[in-house]
Amino acid sequence: MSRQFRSVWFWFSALALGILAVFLLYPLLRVLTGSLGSGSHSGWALLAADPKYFAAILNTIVLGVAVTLTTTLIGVPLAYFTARFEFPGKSIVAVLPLITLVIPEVIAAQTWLMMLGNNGFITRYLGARGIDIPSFYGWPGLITVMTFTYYTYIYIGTLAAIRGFDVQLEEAAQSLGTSPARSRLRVMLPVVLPSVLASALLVFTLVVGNFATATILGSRVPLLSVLTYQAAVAEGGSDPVMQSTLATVSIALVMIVLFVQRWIVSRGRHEVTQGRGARAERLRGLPGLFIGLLAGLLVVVSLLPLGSIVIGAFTVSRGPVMRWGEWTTAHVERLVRIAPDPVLNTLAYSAVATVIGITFSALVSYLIVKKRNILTPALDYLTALPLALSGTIIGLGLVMSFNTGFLPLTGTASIIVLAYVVRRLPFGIRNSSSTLYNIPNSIEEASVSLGVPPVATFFKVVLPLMLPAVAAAAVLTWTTTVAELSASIIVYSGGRETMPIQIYKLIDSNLMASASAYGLVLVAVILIPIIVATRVFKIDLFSSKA
Amino acid sequence: MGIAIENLAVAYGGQRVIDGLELTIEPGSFFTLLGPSGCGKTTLLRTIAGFVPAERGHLRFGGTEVTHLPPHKRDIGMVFQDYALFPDKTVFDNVAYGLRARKQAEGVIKSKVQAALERVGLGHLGQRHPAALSGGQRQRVALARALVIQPQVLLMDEPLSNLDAKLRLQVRETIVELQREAKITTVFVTHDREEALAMSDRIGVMNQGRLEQVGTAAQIYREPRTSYVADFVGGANLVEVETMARQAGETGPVVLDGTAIAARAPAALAAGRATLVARPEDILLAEPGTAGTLPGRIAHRQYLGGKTSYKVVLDSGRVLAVDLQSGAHDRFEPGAKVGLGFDPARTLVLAS
Repeated sequence: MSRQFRSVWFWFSALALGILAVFLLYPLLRVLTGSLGSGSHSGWALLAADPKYFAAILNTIVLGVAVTLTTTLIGVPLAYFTARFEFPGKSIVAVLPLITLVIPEVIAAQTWLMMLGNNGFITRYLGARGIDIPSFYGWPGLITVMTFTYYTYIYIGTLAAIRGFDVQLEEAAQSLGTSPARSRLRVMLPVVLPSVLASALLVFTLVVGNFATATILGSRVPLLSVLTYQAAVAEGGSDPVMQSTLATVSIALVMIVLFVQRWIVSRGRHEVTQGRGARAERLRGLPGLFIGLLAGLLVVVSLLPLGSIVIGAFTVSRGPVMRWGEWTTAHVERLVRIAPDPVLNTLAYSAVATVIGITFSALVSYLIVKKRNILTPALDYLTALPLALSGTIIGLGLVMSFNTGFLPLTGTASIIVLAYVVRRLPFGIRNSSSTLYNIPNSIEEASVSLGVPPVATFFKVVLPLMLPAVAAAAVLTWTTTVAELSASIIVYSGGRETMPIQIYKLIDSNLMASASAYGLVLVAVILIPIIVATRVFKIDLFSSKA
Repeated sequence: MGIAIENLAVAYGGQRVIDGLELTIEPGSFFTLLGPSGCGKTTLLRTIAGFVPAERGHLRFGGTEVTHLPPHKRDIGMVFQDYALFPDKTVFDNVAYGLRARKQAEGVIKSKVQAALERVGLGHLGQRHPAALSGGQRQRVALARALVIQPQVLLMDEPLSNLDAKLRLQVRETIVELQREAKITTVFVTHDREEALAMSDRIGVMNQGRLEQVGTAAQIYREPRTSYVADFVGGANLVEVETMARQAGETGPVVLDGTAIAARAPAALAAGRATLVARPEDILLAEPGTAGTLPGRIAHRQYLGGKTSYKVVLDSGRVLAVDLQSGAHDRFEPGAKVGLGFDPARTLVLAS
């Protein structure tokens, strides 16, 4: 009987594995094998023949390296000064982790265009005064927007490492006769470096997978993700072989980087000595003012999209022409009266995806952490797989797998929900498992020893303890799925537009004011749950993130 | 209700850690599994609880076969090293948990829980959460939670080792009192020999998945069956000697560094090499040259208050530990020559 009771969890694992095989592994294999094409029509031959593709690969790598450098240059000093010094205005730096969450990429790209694009209000303001700025489209825009989108990842990763650094090591170095500056360089840097590198490589993979910014701003610069998307949805027939080939290239690129990251992280293992954190030193006078101003400027620039979206939503427009300085509520009214569908779609799909995703993550991470069996290592690897896949690739895989065949989902809402769930899976799992690792096995055994069967014990003892983390994961899943664009834009069908898709389409038609109106609602839909969760329910959203 | 274990084999992480173990625990008694970490004592306890499956053999509680019964049906109470209190529930709800699982009436639960909490001296803390309690209080709650369901068997896995020395004594007394009062068959796991000697009716000394010896505190301390038990339970001096064949209980000479010493053999011995077991407090120090003593030299002296510990080097270079009551006898200076005397009744010779 005891073997039978253990096999309950075994069958749960098998079921979870089956679901992942169908909805994750199979689509991925379809993408990878699709690149081989049939007969002479091999994607790899086409790739080698057309220099456009080579340029796209090169551009993607160059952009990745460039953004990784700029984000590191901003994120690392910011983290260092925040961790080790007190300076005027330091408290506003604390809002930074929220920024990436609250401002969806599509809105960031759009608002930067509204400011610095050909028709942007800053461009116009300066143009009226005889100052011409270079076009924002292409490299300048790509690097600027991605830098401000991604530097918080470096900041968060580095901050955690510096805070976790045992300052006694530095004191030991000083006691052995090294100057404070040198000991910081010689002792702290090597310990913190792996974390910095790991988050830098994460940024690189995010740039490679980036779709929203790349497609809105990169029209002059062919990039892998954009070409993949175009191959998938090109007017006049898509090119399934080419889309698979390009997707495979970017998967390979990301895989290489992730392996390097893993290697760096594993090499940096020795450094997890928990120790005494450093007391923040007070920076007075000019240096303090200088740092405070720089940090403040950074936060203000990072928050510019929020201000711009409000301005854009209430500015009079005639077609693509924005009449800056003239105000109206027409766009918002129109959204509410005539075209609320994208809002309702977004809410419905995200709600369902959040419920499914959170339930599945909680169960699977429980199996992985607490009920290890022969199947759980496979579960562990599979659930981490989406980390290496951009939204575009996940969307492609789902469309290729469920267009027709044994499970035709194309044209239904379920394929959008599926895309959301798959994309968020690794984060949900990571969130739940970090809590589960903190729940000692003895607590469950205590419950069982008191006469409560194992499955009931999960619900009576484990689940209540997981609840705060599950709630945090639910909020994070919600905020990221309502903003999801790159996968849903590939799998959606007419009439099922979500807000980000609608915004993207409006930007494409150069209707910035209407786009802003949707953007405003989108930000509200993201911000309100965050505020309710953190203020009313006191949930710590970032306890298990980063 | 007694516990009977027959021919038990347990594999853990692909390795067979217990093989062919036999043990009977008397109804209502306090039985301790004593041994160093990794000896299999916790695995054995968890097998009794049902958390680790038995590969082979039988486990019976009072004649009822429970070998294949899942843990939640074994009617056990368990106390863990890390307390394992439910952090989101109050002290009251923690203690009530097992009663609620048994679907008892809320009124009954209330009075039972209150009585149990009062019995461990925490009657006033029912509405607190575990985080607001000290380590000693937490372990008392855990004890109340395990006992309130009146289990057939109480299992305790190093319940005192997370407590500091003073609390450890207090909780130890509470455990013994409650156990004697409730007469619940108890299996207690520890690596602390003092705990084992002080609390138990009987002790099983474990080594590498086997029970080296089972007996009362006095038996395993005074009559160790193996040098392992002598060493682990008493910190005895173990010295290689030559002996002639002996019958069980026979006292006679053994040869240590060429000198004959009288020692008792608790079990029959073959002629040849054997191990002499002499506890530090059972060796006497005398003036050098005293008849029947072994010559040695004081290498080191440590004053410990109630007693003084010496390290004595024999001519052969062997070092023996000797403890003397502080006072009249602690007059040996480091470097002084002494004679070591062995009490034949307390000096044992065991098979190597």
